[in-house]
Amino acid sequence: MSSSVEAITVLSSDGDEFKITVSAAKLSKPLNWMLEDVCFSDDCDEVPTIEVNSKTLVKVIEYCEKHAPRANSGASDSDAEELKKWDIEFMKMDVKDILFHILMAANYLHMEGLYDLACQTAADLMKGMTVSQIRKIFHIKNDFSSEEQEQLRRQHPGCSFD
Amino acid sequence: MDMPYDDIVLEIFSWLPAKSLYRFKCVNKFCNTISSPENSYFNQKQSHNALLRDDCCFFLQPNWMQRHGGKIEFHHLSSKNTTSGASHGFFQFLKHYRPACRIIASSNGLILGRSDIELFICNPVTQSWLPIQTPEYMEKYPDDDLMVVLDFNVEDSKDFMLFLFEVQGEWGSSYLHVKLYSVKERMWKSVEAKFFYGGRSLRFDTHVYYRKALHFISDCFPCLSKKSPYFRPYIMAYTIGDGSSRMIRIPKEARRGSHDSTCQMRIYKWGKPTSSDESICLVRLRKNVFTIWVLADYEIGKWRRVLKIRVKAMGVKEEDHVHVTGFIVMNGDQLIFATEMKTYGYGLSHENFMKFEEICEHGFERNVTNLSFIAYSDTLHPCGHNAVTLPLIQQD
Repeated sequence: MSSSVEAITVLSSDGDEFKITVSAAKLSKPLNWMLEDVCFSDDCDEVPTIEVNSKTLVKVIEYCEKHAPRANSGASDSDAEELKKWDIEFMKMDVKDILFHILMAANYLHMEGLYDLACQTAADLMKGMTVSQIRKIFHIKNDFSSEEQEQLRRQHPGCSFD
Repeated sequence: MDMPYDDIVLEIFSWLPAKSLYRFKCVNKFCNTISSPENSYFNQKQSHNALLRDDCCFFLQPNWMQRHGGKIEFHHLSSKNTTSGASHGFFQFLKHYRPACRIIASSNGLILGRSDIELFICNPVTQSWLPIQTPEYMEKYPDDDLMVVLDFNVEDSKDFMLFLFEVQGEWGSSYLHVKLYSVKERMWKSVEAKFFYGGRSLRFDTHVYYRKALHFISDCFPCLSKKSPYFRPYIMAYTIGDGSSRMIRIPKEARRGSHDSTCQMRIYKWGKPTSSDESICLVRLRKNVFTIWVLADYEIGKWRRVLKIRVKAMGVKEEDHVHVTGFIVMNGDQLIFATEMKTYGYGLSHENFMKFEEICEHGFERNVTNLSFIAYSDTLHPCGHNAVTLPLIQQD
């Protein structure tokens, strides 16, 4: 395979095939390495697998393709503004259903921009939640004894806010 | 779905306001340790992220001399978003500590306060409190306002920067003596480079930290002769480090009529930090008309007018004559102002441009004609090594 390849095929963890352009893949170091492996190996038939499920991978690729032109060339300010708006629209998704998957995928693929964006979005959705909602969303059990809970309340009178 | 890894929880939590973090302390033991004062890595990360988030609260107080306290109100920019805030203990402290207590400045979750006899840094959420060495000037002239500036550097937000500007010797010198507070040594240190500020007195209650320099706008009193180069109001920048000064002219249109007694001018940060449109904006209020310019080219000092509008035309629906008692630009894109009864917001850029909203009523008497706004966002930022718990809290 020559380096003039523009897009290659990858597999999701569910076994579905996806196309990603080389320039978009540059947003992620691990993805980029994978592509280089494919581009320069003699065995062209081997399709690399990305340990991300199909539903999430679609979104990750969508993000990469959108951000690739700016990341690779450095676009103008008006583009930056447009991209910011696009990011906000892009992040309108369900926390439990998909946002956490995106978060983990961004972490695994070393995509700093997407990771920060997803964390910020998750925080915005969570800041107004109750303690029990937070436990539910993170699958966290309350591991305090009742004495410890009482002590915490005494230690942090600041826990009660105006 | 599997439980996300601890570092993902940590990452998400670092984008939460401090008030939410305190509420989530009782989620489980891990969440409790995240926001503890010992976790300095997380505290720093959270307060750094807050620099990139919008401020969503403000303090409102009468614009009197610093040594006189008085009522301080606390409001949220949006009644739908009250997830940020300050602790109950802090409000108790403000109410009961010393005969008078006043907020002079606020930055990245820390506030600089002044009582009748002392200066202090305080975090209203963690309730930590750091007394600041009383400047000699304050001991000598307790009635004078201090020219003091609190800020953070976005690139290195570990420690706060606290500057004090003092008049040297006799009045009439065009230089101010500069002191920087050393958190480590707990004392004021003189900075060699003095600040050349020109012929007018500068407003130290609002400043803009931009391009490693502190920017101040001068007053506009008609006190100088026409021959003076400082006849018109101006902006003066003090470069941190080499101490060099730079004068920036304000737009011609803003200079016109600036000697009018109803004319007020202030500068604020424009745009979001680290974004390409970050700059300085100039707000002028004269005869109930707001005009706003943005410094479009810093190097050559070129301004662009963003808005000119009568207060009545914005959408204020008050029956009596509308009198603006105070204003501020928050988050680099919204003008917030107070009338004798209420506070309002007015969008200045992008999709919120010219979007008018009523924020809240305030409780100041009608005879308080001059209010000052101080923007605030809650962070876990520590006050410094020798910080203690806010006075009066221990007794509870």
